[in-house]
Amino acid sequence: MLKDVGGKTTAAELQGNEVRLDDVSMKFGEFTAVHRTDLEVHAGEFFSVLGPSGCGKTTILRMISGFLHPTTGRVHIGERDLTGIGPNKRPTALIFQNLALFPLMTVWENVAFGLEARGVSKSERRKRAEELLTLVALTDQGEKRPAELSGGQRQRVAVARALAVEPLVLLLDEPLSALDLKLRQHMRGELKEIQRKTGITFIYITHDQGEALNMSDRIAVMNLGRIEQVATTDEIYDRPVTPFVASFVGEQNVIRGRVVGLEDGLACLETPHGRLLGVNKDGLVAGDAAMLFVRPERMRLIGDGTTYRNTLKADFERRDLEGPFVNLFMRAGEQEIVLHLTNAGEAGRSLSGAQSIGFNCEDSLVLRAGELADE
Amino acid sequence: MSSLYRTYGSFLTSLFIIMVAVWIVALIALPQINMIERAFIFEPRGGAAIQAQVDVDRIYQRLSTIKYDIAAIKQEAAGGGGPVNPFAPGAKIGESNTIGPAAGTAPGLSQTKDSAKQRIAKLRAEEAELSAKLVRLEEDEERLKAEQEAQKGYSLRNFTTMSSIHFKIFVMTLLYSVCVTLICFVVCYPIAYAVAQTTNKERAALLMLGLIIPYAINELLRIFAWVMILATQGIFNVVLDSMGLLSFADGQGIQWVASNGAVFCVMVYAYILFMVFPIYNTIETLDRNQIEAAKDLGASTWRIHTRVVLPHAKPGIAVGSIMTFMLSAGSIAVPGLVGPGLHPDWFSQVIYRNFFEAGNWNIGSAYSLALLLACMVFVFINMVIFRVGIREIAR
Repeated sequence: MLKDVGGKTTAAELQGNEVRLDDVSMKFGEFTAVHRTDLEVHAGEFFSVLGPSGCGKTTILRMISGFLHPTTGRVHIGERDLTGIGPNKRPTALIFQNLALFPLMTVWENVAFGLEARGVSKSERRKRAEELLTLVALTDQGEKRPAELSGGQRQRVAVARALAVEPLVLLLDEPLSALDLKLRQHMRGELKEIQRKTGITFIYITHDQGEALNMSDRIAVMNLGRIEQVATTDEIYDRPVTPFVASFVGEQNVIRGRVVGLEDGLACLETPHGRLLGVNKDGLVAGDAAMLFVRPERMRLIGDGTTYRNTLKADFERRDLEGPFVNLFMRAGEQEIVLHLTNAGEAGRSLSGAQSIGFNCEDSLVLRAGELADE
Repeated sequence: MSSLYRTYGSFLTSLFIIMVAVWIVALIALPQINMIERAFIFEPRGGAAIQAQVDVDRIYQRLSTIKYDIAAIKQEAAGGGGPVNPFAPGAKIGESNTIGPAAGTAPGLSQTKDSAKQRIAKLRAEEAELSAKLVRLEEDEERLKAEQEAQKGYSLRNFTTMSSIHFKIFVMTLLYSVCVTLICFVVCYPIAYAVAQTTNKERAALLMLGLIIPYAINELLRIFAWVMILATQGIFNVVLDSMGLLSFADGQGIQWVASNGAVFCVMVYAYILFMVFPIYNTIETLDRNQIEAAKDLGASTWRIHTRVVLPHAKPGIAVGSIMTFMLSAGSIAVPGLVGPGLHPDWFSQVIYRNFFEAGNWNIGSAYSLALLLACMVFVFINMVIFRVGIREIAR
């Protein structure tokens, strides 16, 4: 949806800047919303802060935007220390969850509001607003009121309004959560494209792991006021470092057990379903309580002749068709196991009774037993 | 109507409808129609007709006195100069009641029967003279009254005969009310904004309570409280005196109540809630994110208010202004109690005097109607300026 304006994108004039949080924490009375945290967001990257509601991600965002002042520590953007600088003086722009467009102003006045606040002349404002509206594919919509636009168009107005002040960092507070699924998926692509074209640093707050994985360069996963892991999306998905991250991002089969042996960076777990091997990232030793994580799509039904080092038996319960893949729900005693099979032909259409399930030990991860996201 | 019938049954529904009808007709429509009709009926008062009536009344009075005096003299003569009935003071009354040249010489009790006859003759002469005059005067009175009666009727004269002084008071009252409304707005907007934006619910409730508590006190007492403060020997001057800004000893007390400022001040205090609540209600519905968004985009506090908060609060400001203006323009208690006669008159006082002192309900009605129309014009202008419809105001 990003359009070129006059041969070059307006965005080319913009640029991102790095954001650094040094030992930042935030307390509200006795309650610690964010524990002491260091965080570095690289210049020009799409960075997501992912976590369940109440984990402190919005607090972090509000500290960067200047609406909250951290109890300890400092926030830097580029070389600038932002301590004591109000939100209206920071090189950041915030897109609110409900967008917070000004309903009584026209669309172009909304977009130009930041320029108006900076004392730009009306004709110049008008010109800039038109450019930005063209950038977000809303040419000729400038005279309308926000209420006359569709959800996706309002979203783009909010983006244009934020870009108008030429921020070094754009902060987004779950701006897509109010949209329906289709539009949300479409807007993900648009936001990502705007970020790529403008080169502005995006800090995106969300509780939707799909959004985070989809758009981000890097993700910080937060829980209970602490950042549990900061890594690229693939790393977060494939090599989570805590049970919380492992279970919060994507789906997981979690099997509890106890470490009984070690070999070649793998740990051998004694579980109710037999001995299972997994990558030992935490450096566990024999006797440690542990959890084994396997993604549903990394599990296979045995029967095509392939052999796996890890196998377990489970009873087939039900098959849910998702379209491109199917979910197979299996049960082994108390343990529920989910498999994703690519929907290529028969995909478990006539299953029943006991089944053997296999998976590679490189695809399973052993972590020290801890708190899971769903508990 | 049918849903009302379904919900409450025939008896309650008809009772309800009858009560509403009685209320509308008896308490709203009829009094208003009566007052409006009076406003357009010109009733000439005073002048020659009244003077003639007064003269006729006086002659009748004098005639009955003469009759009484004659009877008293006759009785006196018959009684042989015995003790006079103290309840028949006789000539004394005649003496005190005689008018102008008609007054006879003072008859004494010690005079003889001869002189009694003389006195009776003299009185009879006067009686005859007056009776003749009476016929003439009564004719005059009839004629003058008929002339006035002919003048009476529907006309705009109650309005057009408004004296220039009254007209000036009328115009100034409207200006004063606009002043009170403006002051009220300037005072109320920050209060309403602060209360509406307080995140702490308890503090907001406390602030509201603080605003409401003074309204539990009778309005007259609230006004008198200000009279105490602003009086020449009042609290305000005492404070100034103790600060050494003026000296009571040198007789320097300032007569605050003699100024319109005092009236404005008391009115703002009296009507502040009618401005605060509508503004508070609208600001409370403003999404806090919009203020933050404006701030985030670099807007100054001033710009946040002029571009985001005030436009949103417009309907509330319109309602508050209308209420405050109507109340101040029609207020009788405040200008009447705060230094009455010392500060410039308010039109409501003029209306009051027409009704209750001059007893001229027609002029009073006409003036009231003029004020009402002016207020309606103000409401209309207000709605145009704020671009709000009746519907938004009702909300």
